Amino acid sequence: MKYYSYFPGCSLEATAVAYGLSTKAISGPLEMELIELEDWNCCGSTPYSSTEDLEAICIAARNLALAEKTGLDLVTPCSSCYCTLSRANSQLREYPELRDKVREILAAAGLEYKGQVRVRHLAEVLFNDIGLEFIKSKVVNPLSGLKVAPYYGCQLVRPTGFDDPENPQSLDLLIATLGAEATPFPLKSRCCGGSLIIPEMDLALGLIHQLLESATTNGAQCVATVCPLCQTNLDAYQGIVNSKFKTRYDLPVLFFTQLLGLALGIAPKELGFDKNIISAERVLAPFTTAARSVRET
Amino acid sequence: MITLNNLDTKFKYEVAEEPGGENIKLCFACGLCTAGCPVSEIDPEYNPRRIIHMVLLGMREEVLSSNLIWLCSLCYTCQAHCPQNVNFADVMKALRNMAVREGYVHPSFANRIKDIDTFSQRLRHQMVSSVVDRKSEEMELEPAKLAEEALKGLKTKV
Ligand code: SF4
Ligand code: SF4
Repeated sequence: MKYYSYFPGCSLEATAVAYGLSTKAISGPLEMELIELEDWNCCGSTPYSSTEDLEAICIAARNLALAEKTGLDLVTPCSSCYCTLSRANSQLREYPELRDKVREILAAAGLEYKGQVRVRHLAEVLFNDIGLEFIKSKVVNPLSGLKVAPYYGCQLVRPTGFDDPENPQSLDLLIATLGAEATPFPLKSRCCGGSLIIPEMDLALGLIHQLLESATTNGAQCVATVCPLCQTNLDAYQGIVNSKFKTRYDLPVLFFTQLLGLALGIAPKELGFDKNIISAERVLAPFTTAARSVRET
Repeated sequence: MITLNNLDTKFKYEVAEEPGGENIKLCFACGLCTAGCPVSEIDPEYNPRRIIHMVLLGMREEVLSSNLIWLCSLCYTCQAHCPQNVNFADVMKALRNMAVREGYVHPSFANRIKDIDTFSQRLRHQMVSSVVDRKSEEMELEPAKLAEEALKGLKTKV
């Protein structure tokens, strides 16, 4: 069993409930113990960092200070939390002046951060710590023939990242491990627009449209994503893209943990498939029936 | 038109002092940042190389009051491409912070940012409580309705 401090982040309790459910569901079979960080707060990734950077870093630093007490690596499935917490972590190491200011502010809350925490993304932990061999040994319901577009987005691979910033492969390999086929996806690490969808909707819709087009023209039946923001943008705004660009996309956008769970034989209900807006029922039908029978036997 | 007298030669040093801004002076204007920028592709008005050049020239007012600095999606592609290690996404954050601090941002714009923040906080709260309480099954199923609720009471239209 491997132990981690777990940082779900706000999205996993709101727009990305399915990500949280499926992460919890796969942790047991993959022998990971995810211990939720007690009293965590938002990572600081709201418009804060653009308007009050110091405040944003303090919000992140509070989480880091709490995590440091556990002595475990801090794992989050959210790419945005991962990026924000890592950025705060490295800036606190690199900029002594900033560190002093933050130290003072944390002290007012009775906290201290020594800079020892390792911030990690769930996908990286699965790839590096758990390992593809081990995952493969646990696959009881191979997703044979399923064509999946591996979508990394920005923040898993940039600016820190553990894989190539432009042509990453880890998710491709993970998808293959599940018996599915990772389709070519030239825009695999292209930006979905992130939170621009709120203030600059047209701009973000343009970006989402390009991604959906790239995935479908390369034959994908669904998209696997590692980020709540990417998932929401591609899933919830697909209808608006369709009316704006006169397209007819009907592409389920799933969290990679949902597909992973299905391959591990976990019941679809526990993986939150009913929370996705574009239904994956048709595409996944051959495998959901199999998951049920694997489970019942 | 650029008037030399209006240029603020200190501007680039100030940006370079912000966390992540240090390498801006190394830019040799190759344009790789713009070539790979997804936002530039959709809206060619937005041009990271141009913005960096304006900073280096000292066009403080033009840069900090421009709406363009708010279009960056902070995707870090430019940074991955830059041969000179210019950390442009962080430069962008620095410019935004300076614009807010120095009052270049029109109050209505600052309010809009605040509203967006309130909006996302509210949306999160409502989604969390609808999940936690399980009291409003139909709301949980309708993100659009939740968003509408969250928008209520905001001063500026988002
Ligand atoms: S890629 Fe780097 S060096 Fe080239 S123009 Fe952009 S910031 Fe300057
Ligand atoms: S970080 Fe901003 S400027 Fe750089 S490529 Fe992305 S959108 Fe363009």
